[in-house]
Amino acid sequence: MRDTEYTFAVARIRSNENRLLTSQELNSVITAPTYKEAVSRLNEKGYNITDTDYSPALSKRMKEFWQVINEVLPDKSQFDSIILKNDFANLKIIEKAFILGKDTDGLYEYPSVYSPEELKECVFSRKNSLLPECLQHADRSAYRILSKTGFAQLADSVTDRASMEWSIKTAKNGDNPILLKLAEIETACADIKVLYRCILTGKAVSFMERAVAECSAFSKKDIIAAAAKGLEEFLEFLSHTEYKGAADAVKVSTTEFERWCDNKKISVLADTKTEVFGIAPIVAFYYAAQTEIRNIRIILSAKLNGLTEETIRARVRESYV
Amino acid sequence: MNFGVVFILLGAALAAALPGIGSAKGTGLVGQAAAGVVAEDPAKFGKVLILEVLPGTQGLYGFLTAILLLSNTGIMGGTAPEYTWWQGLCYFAACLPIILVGLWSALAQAKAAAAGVSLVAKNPEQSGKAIIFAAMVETYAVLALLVSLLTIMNIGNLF
Repeated sequence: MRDTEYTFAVARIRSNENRLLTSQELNSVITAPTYKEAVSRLNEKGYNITDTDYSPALSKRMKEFWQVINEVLPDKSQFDSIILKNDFANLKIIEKAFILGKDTDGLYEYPSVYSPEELKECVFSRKNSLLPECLQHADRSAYRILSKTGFAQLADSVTDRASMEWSIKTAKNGDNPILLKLAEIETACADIKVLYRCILTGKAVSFMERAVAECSAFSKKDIIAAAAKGLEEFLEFLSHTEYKGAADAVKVSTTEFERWCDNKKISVLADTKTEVFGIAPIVAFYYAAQTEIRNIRIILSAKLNGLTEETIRARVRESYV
Repeated sequence: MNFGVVFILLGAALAAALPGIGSAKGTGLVGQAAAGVVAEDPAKFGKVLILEVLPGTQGLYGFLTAILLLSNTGIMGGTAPEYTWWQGLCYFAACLPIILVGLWSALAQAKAAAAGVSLVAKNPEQSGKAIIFAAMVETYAVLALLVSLLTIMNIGNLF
């Protein structure tokens, strides 16, 4: 699509950016002396949190932000590379529910490209061919692993890998540099995370090969070879890539690593603040909204558990606005 | 055959058409952005309307040039004398500034105005600055208009 076809969408998104918390407003929530005061400051910005169960209000807010994006996007498939991972997450939930005979209500990830209920119908009736093409192989592999070995971690890793590879493939088909860059970052971060866990839990190279997705940041073969030699070799390998910061963060904690990954995505999107045309400002708004919801979740949870302001600041992600 | 008149008519037609196309595309583009802002906040209609109007002026400049050309050469009143091909070409050349600058400045101004609409969307108090940024592009359309008009009005002295 031509960039000027997003003119209406970008203008609406810019108007809606005023609904997001600025750095100062986020800071005022962090510095609120009590949970009640933090909630009061959030409610002034349109959050409708009534008690200590803040999750429904946050989910509702994210749905409102997504509703705006959904309304303004001239071609909804442009967002597939970003939200496809939620379909794979839903597939994992459904697979496990099917194997364990459990319910999936309230567990689905939102927003998604495909209806979770339709996916559930296909999985529960074992009509694999009725699933969307991107989910068919992951569904077959995960079902085989879960039903034969019950090895849920491997099934999850195989599905996550498929999710990353399809995100990159979809982004490439969309021919949009910002979407491709974000898909590459998501994939690289997911690869680092899974390999770090593999090293800590002593997983075999064969597991790593099945779990790691191809990405442009580093060679799959080389990073697995480094991970197979141990944590030091792995971190040394990363220090020679653009993910040096990730290696430093993972040394601190996995929470710090996840924060680094989110900040990396926001830093890529920071350049779009001055863009007037194209899909980039809409993508930035989506990530900004997600980051805001994540930050509020961190802050409110910390306030409820009496954590210090310093601890909260160490966990909060950078704000886009 | 009177080739001079052909060149004069071609100049008038392009002076009206190309800046007109630029203005139509420009106001259309800014109109989309303005609609996006008004959809969220109808109170901003007045502020974004000024920005939408700005790329429309080039179409008027082109129209003005065409009318002046047709009037000065007597084509409009039906009293046009015989024009040689090079006299016609001189009139055509006089129209070129507004033909070219009118088209491109309208498109460039539309982008500046659309950016201004985004600025108004986020920060309505800055609407004055947004208008100034877009209006700066107008300078070059006005200069082109002046050159075209002055040339058309004085070109008769050459013949």
